[in-house]
Amino acid sequence: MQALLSVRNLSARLKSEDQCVSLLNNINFEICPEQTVALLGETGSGKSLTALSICRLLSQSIFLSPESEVLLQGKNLLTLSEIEMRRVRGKQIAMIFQEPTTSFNPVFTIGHQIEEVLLHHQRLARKGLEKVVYRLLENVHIAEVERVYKAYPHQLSGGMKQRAMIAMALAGEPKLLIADEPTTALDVITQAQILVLLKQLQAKFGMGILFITHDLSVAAEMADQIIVMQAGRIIEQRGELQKSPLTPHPPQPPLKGGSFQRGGLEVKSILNDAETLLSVEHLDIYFPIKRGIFNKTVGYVRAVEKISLTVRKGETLAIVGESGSGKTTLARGIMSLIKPTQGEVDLLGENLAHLSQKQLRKKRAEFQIIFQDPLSAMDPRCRIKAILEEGMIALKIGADQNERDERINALLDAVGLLPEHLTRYPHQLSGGQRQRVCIARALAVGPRLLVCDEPTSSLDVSVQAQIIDLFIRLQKELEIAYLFITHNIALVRTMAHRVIVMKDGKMVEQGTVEQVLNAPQHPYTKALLIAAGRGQI
Amino acid sequence: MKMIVLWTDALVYLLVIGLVVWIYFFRKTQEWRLILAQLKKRPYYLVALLILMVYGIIGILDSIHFKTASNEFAVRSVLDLLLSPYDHVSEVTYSAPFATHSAEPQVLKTEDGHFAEVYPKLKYFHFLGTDKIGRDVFYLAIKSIRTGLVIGTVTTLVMLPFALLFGMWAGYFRGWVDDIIQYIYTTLSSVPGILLIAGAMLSLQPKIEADPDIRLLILCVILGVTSWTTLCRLLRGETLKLRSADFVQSAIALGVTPLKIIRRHIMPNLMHIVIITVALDFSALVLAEAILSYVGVGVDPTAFSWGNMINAARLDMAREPLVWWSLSGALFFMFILVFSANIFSDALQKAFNPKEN
Repeated sequence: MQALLSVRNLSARLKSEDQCVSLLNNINFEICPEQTVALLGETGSGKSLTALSICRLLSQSIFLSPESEVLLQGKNLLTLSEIEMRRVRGKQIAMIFQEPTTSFNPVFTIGHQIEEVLLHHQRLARKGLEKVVYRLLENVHIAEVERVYKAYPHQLSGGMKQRAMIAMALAGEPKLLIADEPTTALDVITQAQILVLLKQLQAKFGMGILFITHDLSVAAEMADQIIVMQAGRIIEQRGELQKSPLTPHPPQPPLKGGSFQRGGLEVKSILNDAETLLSVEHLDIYFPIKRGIFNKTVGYVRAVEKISLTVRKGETLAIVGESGSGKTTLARGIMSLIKPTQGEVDLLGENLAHLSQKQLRKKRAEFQIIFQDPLSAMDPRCRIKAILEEGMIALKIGADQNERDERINALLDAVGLLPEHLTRYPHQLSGGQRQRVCIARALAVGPRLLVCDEPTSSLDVSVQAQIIDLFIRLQKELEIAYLFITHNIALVRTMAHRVIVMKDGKMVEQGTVEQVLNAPQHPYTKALLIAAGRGQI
Repeated sequence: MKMIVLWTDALVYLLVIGLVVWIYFFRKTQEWRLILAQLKKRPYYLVALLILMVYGIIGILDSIHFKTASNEFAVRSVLDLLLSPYDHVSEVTYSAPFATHSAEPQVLKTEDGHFAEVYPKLKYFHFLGTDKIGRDVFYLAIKSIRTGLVIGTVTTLVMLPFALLFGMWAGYFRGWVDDIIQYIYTTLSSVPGILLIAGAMLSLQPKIEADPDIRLLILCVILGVTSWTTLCRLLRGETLKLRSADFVQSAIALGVTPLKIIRRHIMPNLMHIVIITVALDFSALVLAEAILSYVGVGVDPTAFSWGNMINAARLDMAREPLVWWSLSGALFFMFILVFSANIFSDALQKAFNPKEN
């Protein structure tokens, strides 16, 4: 079969005033009609750059080498004029992006935006366009086509927007669809639906798909061929159909979305009669909705409703749920960063709501929080040493500078950082190192409970495993309890003792990890597990 | 010879000392290197800085005042000495730039006893001509630099604490603190600024009439008190944003007290806005002085200022032949200062904005 797209000797360099950085190095691959090729790799490996080079959407400071060729049905796209290229884009090659919200213009309706594409590429008459848009929206399994047609982007959910985005991409009846991490921003259940939809559409229209992802399980499910990229090079290229395990590359730890390759540390089991650290009872957190000139409260957003839970010494309690289920609000409510509307949070038998501001500040040595994005959790204008010291000074831990320095060195050792990192600024560290600093900062005040709000989800997969290892090791050594918020089921299996499933601010199921994950009772838990389990190798 | 320190002189000295100390501590930081890098990258930033420095030096020289034994009543500055004799001699009346003779004819008695209308020969060379009472326009424009700089910098100093403290408190503490501060600045900014300043100046008129220096100082204070609202509003918004940032949340979780969080985490992250706004406000204030003096509520009518020069030029412009040089002299010096300050603030903006780097 003749290839639909073939990329040959694609190399790209970034030229700045005094240096020249190689970004892509000799990329070669082919996509046949009705074939899906997955580009797999970590952040910064050059996946998106490859896609942008194919569409010729690179920024002006990036140059392609003269040997590079991108052939679409035998025609070299790199030699076309910009006017000719504009006809290729959208008509023959369409792209869908990671974040559907930013890809739509917020001030026009979905219908209007799809019509624009049709007018431009199909040269249809404006009359009767509505019917064509309806048909396109039906193609992507949108039931209420009329509502979506009239809706503005913000009125649709993330999954719905991504469907509309796909409908828009298909409006020009492209031969090649480039999907740049189309499901990363979506929750697991919607993610699975979108993947199925793409497969069906491919069979229907006979498109070639270039699928960019960092999730191996998604790639394995979608692709006929997988290309693994690292640092601008293809390091492995194989057909998925061979079903042979990926040969591990020395610099590339196995990319596994499904399970974690860890250092073999086992989670310590805990005794049933262990001391209770935290108990939360009937916690409600509502945000008032205010309207009108007098700011009258007309209703409440019930972010967290009637949550009760306990965490015992040295235990890990996982809270799972999709985005928007109130997990993060719950974490901040427990940390007294948001004032709960109702209910009690007891830490070591003391009700936090009854403490004065001063007593509460003192109490904060017992419980700490770790945020999802370590970069935004550190003041960009402080050096690492100042960041680590801050809590110790505030809570008067360590009598003098020497004692504090000793403690900092011990902490660096515990979380696997070097003394030379102390003089750096947060942006000078890698993602994994940043999260280690955040962990060290929390540990500096000697807490017995750590609330972790998706601490690994902003990190690359290979780094995630290291950080999880660190968490487990620290729990063993220091007997810390974790309240671990995540949407990653595999992570729950790896490190939690008990688990709570949340949906729309309410708790739908709780129990030990074995109970909940192996014999789920609630339909939502089942759906979550099925979605998360899809495509696991 | 006896040195005299006026009130505004003292403030100028304090400012200079403050600037030197600040540079001493600031030169080790990353921002300093970024500013230097920006200056190196674009030579016109460097030119702007040089012009600002020249203006600054002139302002400082003009702030060192003394009395000489020969004349008990004349207070002169170092700048006057340097520009001597232009500071104490004057022609009879108008003369055009580079002219050798006066622009106005005079009736004089000639040698043979007759009266004749002649254009008298000028005593000195005048680069920018002379005004109605024969003062050198270039000298006037140079002397006005000090007034412009004092208004620009002292007003900023008066305004800054209000804007910083109120903005950060409102944004950080929210609730009733925010309500009160918002109420104050909404009220202030809903009264037309010039009216407010004119009202304040006129009500203080009896007290400040005697001393031009005190009048200048009071003007700065009034301008400062009425102009902090814009910056305050900006800082409040930015603080609201920073307050919900994870690094502030984690500082709260670490038990750091609110005042310390404001000092360590909020303020350093606001500094880029403050510096940029201050540099832009400086130019606006120099212009405001000209407008206020023109309206008649600005600096003392006898003081050297661009506003007074423009005000006097109103009549000159109505003459025939047209006297254009006093207006253009004032405008040119003001324009160069405001233009360089704006260009330099552009460099600061580039250096302090994290997205630019």
